[in-house]
Amino acid sequence: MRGFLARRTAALGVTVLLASFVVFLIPYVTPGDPVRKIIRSQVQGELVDESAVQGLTAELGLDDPLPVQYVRWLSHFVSGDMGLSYTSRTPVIEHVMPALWITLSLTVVTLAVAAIAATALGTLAALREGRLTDRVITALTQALIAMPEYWLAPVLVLVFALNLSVLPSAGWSGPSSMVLPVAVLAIRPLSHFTSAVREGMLDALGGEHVLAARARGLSHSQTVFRHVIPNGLLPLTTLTGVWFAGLLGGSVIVEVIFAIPGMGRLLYDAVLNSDIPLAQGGVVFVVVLAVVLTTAGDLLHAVLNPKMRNSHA
Amino acid sequence: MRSRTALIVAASVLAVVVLSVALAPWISPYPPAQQSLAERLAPASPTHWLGTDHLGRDTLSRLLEGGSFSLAVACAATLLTAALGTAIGVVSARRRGWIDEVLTRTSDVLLALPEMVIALFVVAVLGAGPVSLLLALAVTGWTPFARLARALAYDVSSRGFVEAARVLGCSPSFVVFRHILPHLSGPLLGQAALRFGQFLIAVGALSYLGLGVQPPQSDWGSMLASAQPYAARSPLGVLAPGLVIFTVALCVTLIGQHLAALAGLRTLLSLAPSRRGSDV
Amino acid sequence: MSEGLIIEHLHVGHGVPPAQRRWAWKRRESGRGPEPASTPLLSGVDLTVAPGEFVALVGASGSGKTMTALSVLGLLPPHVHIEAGSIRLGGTDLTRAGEAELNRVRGGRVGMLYQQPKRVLNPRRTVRSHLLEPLALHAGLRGKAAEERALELLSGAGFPDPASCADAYPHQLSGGMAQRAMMALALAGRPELLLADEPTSALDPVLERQVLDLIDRQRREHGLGVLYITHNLATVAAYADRVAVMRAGRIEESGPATAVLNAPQTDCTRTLREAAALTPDAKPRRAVDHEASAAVVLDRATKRFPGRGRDARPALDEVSLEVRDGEILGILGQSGSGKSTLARLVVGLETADAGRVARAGDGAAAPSRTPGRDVQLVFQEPHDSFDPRMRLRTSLEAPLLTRGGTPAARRKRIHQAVKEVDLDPTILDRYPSQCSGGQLQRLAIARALLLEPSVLICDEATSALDAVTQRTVLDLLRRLHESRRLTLILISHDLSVIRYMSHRVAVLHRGELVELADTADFFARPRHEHSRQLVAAALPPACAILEDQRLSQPNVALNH
Repeated sequence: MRGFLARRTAALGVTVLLASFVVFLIPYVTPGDPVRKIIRSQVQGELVDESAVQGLTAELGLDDPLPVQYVRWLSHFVSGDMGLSYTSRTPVIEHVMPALWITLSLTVVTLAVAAIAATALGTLAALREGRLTDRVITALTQALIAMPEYWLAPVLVLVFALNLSVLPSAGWSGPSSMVLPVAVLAIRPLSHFTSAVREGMLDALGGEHVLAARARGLSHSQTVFRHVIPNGLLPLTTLTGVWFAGLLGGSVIVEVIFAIPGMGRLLYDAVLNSDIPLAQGGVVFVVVLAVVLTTAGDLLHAVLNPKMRNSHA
Repeated sequence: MRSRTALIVAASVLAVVVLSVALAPWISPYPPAQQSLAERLAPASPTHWLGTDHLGRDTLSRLLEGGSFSLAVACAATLLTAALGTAIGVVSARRRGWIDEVLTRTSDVLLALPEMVIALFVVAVLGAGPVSLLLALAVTGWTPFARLARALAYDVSSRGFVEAARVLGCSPSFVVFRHILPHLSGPLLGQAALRFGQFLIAVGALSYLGLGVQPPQSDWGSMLASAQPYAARSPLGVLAPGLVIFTVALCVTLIGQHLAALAGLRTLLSLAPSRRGSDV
Repeated sequence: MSEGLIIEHLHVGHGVPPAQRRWAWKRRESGRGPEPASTPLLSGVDLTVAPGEFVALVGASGSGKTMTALSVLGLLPPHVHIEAGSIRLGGTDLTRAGEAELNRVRGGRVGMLYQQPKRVLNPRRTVRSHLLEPLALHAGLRGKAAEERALELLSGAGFPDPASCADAYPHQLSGGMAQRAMMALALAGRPELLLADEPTSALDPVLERQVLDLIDRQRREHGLGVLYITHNLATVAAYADRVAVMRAGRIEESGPATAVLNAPQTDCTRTLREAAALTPDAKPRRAVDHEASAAVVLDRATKRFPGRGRDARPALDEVSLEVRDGEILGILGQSGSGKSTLARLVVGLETADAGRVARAGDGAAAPSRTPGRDVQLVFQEPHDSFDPRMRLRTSLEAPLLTRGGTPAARRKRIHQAVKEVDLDPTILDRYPSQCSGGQLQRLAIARALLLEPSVLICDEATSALDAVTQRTVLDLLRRLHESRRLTLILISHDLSVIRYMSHRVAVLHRGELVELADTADFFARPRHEHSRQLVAAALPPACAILEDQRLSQPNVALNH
């Protein structure tokens, strides 16, 4: 267990460093003069003459070797100085933090909805294995995984916002504006969770320990609640971690369609406008958060699973 | 849903879509780029089966033409990632040791990164277009294959017949090509089908965002995007491309599930991006 | 007051195709296709178990033994029903009892033991948590009282430190510990009847004996009726009062254990009996030249596997051993004693961390990682030794491919080898799934012999086979030993196999070689403490037991 923890944490650190290095390289690999791009992200006001550029190049240390520049960039970054957005000429951090909160809350609500619904549906399908209920739920999960969000979203908007006028079609203003985005975002995790819960429950149901529990006099429902559901839900912990990471980026489409000022939207705009500092800040935040969350999911799984908790491997 | 009927229906629908996309230049009712401002946003009618878009172009003709881009990129991405992932997975499982450790950690890390953000990043660096689209999908796309291939190759390698082959002095290539790969083929085929559906959706998504196909050309995702402002007046323009993507993705996924089931795997959905439960 | 268990004319069958029965207890029974839908699973079973009586139920797998036990608990698989007959326990008719009544019987009046105790325990709960369930349900104990009773049960099941066992999760228990924990669990409701479904088949003789003695003590001290399902006649002979022999859902024969075993009335019983008779026969084996050169030499060979628990005890610890050319060496040991590691080391699948492994065929060069062709290995699981996707012909041809020769020559060699193991070459056109375990094990031997090895290692090669087939495969090995002058290394946990086959016996215990002796000497005078335990625990072969030799007090001091 301790070894597992250590290895996970080490992997986390390495990933974050690697990702940050790749992100650091953006201005160097994109078309155009990197020096001008970097200066643009550091200094307010427009640059006109060549001599000013040269002065600033030396002043900002842009003639230093790349590793040195990287370390300096990273230390700035860690202390919260991520440069200025090209488009708004304001510090990147001021854009990233509010966007991050919006995306996080969207993600948390979505995953909670998906996990609860999937637990109910997956358990029901497993207990009714092979019957109509199971077949309908299974068919539904298969259909949902093939559903493009950028199609479902306009269709839902068409129905609920334009025709029925019960929900806002876009924007970020209170709980009602969250309904449609959450519905669209939840379909794929829901589908994935449901089939995982169903499989987990079937495995748990098929375990000989279930028959043995009956043979010790537990009733069917006692057996299901004590020995099937807790075991069958275990896979959800890891999956939630993975999807947490997936949704932070998967929300690009939904945030663009519903005009939600979250991380997805921020990154999209940054790429469209070639706003390099904004993209750098956004990507690093998303990646760090994603890696941390996935690791957390794994650790939770390990803690809940006695086999791993006690292993010394 | 796993019955034979479902499989036959899915296969036939898929065949019809692929064939008509392939034969688009000959069977398409209008030239896809032909504009007719008089017939803007026309509803479905005998002359325009699926209506027209905001420039009066025939939706059906554009669907047929746009399909080739979406299908080709998704197909190429599937083949590329399947080949790459399988090779990496089998090498990991056979070599073990530090090579396995490095490859496994790499795929763990890539899996933790949001796919869409990576794609945005690649497009930002390389610019939009089919090649960068393919690369964007492939950067993370190989990991599910590698995971699956590694896990299965690991299992097969510990089976008695592989050990027996070693004791009997069979060559490593015999072991890999005759013993291991045949055992992987079913699940990998199933996985490939599943991934194809996901790639198709992703291609559409990137094109929808304007990062995939570039203007004179169009595909299903970009059609959806351009029709969206007129959704209230002409819902068919939004419904049709999405429905095609959904149908193709669903059919391929269903066929894949069936293949996987034939290979003795219960559901790929739970296997695909799930992580290694324990460190073996 | 109590009259025990009385089963009368029990008929059990199902009306639904077996394909739809995807429930745990069918999966375990066998991977092969179950009976066709119309066949009754049990037809007219009559069986009684009086209080304090030990009744053995024997029969081949699939004969309906487990089904009989499940009927008693009312836990038949879905779509399987009791069609006629009655099951009475102490006056209650269980076939008419409601679910609530049955839940009081299950685990309360009837306890159950299983073949795979670790699979039967919930992997995510401790032993304590398991024990508290029946204690609350059937004994009405909660809190401190339940806690104390749980520990009491565990110490009664032979755990010197019940508290640490109670805190353990199933995966932390060894097979023997898990079975004893199951025993505590089965006794928690103070049952009057114990159903034991092959509880010792997966255990080595020492552990088997411990569990049987535990059951026997409960029977004697508390008047527990025991229905013991087994296919091991030695157990029957040593412990059972009465025996019932099942075949295809019927009781073929029943009566006092000694009477049935000594004078079987049906062919079915006779076959079972003969197969169990692995007596060291008079037939002389080829004498071994004591001066013969060594075929395999191990010199302080040590193998460690990294990351196996906190105790870094090596799987094989400085083992020195010389296998003489042309002998049959038996290697005995419990599971985890390092037997298989030794085999893998000798054949070259693993390399020693320290020490030296030398084979007669090796050159002077340092041992390479590639396995030596001169030593071949036959594995335990015949169905796993062949690629299920390959025709057997392809599997047998594979080792010859790297050695040149025309296809016709290869074909001839394969046919020869197959004939040598008494099989018809037409079998080569089948897939492994179309063959029986015995046939595949013969083919595995044939495949190994294709390379003309001088040493053949059989790693539990007959353990997965039923007794009749085991006998024929062992006789085949003896014949090959004679005709080919083959050196055999036989690895087994089964003393009777080793005794039947080998010239010398080596005993491995926790990775160390603790004894090496001539077979006769070993069984007469085992020297090492562990060897003595093994020999003492081995039940005498069933047929050797006469009325007067019956173990009246089967109580050997066995403690770890």
